[in-house]
Amino acid sequence: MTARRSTVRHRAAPAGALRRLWAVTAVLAGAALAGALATGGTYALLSSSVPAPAGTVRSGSAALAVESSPVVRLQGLVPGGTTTNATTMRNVGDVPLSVTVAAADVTAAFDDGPGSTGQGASLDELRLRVTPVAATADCRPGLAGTTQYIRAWATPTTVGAPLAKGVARTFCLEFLLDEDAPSFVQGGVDGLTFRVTGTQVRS
Amino acid sequence: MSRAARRGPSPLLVRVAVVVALVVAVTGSGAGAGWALWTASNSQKVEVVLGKTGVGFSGAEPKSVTFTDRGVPTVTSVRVTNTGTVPSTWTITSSIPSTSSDLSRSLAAAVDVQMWTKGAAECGTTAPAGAVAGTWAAPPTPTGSLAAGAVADVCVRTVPTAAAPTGARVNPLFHVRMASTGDWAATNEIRDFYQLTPTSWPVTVAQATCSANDPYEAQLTFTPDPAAGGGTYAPFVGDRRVGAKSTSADYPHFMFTRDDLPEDPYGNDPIRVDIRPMTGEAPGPVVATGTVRPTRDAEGLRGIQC
Repeated sequence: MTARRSTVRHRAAPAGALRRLWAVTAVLAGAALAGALATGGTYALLSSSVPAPAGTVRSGSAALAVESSPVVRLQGLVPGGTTTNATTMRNVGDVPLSVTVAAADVTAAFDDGPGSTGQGASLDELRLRVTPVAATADCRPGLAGTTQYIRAWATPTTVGAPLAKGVARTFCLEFLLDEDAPSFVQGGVDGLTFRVTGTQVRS
Repeated sequence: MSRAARRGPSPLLVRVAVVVALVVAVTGSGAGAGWALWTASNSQKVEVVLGKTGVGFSGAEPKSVTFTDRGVPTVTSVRVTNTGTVPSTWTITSSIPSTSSDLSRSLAAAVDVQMWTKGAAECGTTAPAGAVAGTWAAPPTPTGSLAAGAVADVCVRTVPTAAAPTGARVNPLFHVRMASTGDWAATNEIRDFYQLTPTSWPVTVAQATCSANDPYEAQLTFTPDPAAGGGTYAPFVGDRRVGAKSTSADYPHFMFTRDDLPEDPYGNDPIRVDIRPMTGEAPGPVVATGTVRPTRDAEGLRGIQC
């Protein structure tokens, strides 16, 4: 009777271990699958290799080059009038870039010195329209780009589709002075830095 | 309590849990590390200089003109300069002071006024067809456009009519407005221009006597007129003073070389020189008129004779 019970236990033990082994295997497989999904890759173990020639491993880069004059002075804007300037940026990095533009370092000055009555007032009358164009010659008044007062351009605004590696984009900057710009802002000088920022596009 | 509950998780399960945790930790941490996105920027500095209006206004010389007779025109000019940075439209309006006497207002209504831009015709005694016309009581309003920095000379021809009273004076005020778009404009004025009528018509002007002692100089001698006012006298050709020449009543002479007198438009034609009394820089009515004649000697040198 004892031997019989012993035999029963001996036969039952391999079945429990097998169940635990299956459970462990399932958990490991699930964990591996979860990890693989999380990284977006696979763990295919098949591989092949050839010897690589000697060389330099270099990381990629994101870079924009301005292909227009770095400083521009636009003259003679009057109420209801416009003046335009085309500036071209090229993606000289290794990755495509989504592009935003913004106006930084906005200043206002007057020929008759600081502290004059109209100091800064002209910024409330000056709007900027930014439109991507195919070429500098296409930059003209009345295009359909985003238009807002200079100060509002402090917030970066996406302009156009992502810029592929090696491709240039010309931005048409149209400055518009309100028709009701008061007389005391005459001769004002408004300055800004037109900043183009490219951010790597997720591939 | 069962034996299993008392013993806790088996060592095998603990080991499996640790392995699972490690796998998840290692592979999961890779999910967050790969997405540091690169950025780049570049910029252009832009300065937007707003336009500016400005206007210069000069002329209306001599500042005091006495009409010599009814129907006899006098011509002067004013110069408008766009001193702003943008193309603008200028407009000249005229008026007489609100404090003008009745006699002055009568003269203002009796002076025919014509104005035109010199580009269309010289400032001669005959007005071109395009001249705008009126009187000092209802003045004409010439207008035109100028690029930044450009000038326009506006001729002003005035003729006293038969109704012009004697012994009267009118002070036309010239006002110019240089306007761009919107409310942007600049203004300027000429307030010291006078026109007078004599105490009786017509006015006779004394002759200045010409004499020449050598081929290159001529002298005009005149009789001072104490009633004309001013302590000094100056020569004028048309409405332009001849250099800075002046003299007093004690020495009523002017000596001229050819170079003293304007070349154009007189060329080698006789040149009429008017002598006016001066009050400061303001000339009075003509007290004498003389004539000199440009010459050239045998070697072609420019001279002047009577």
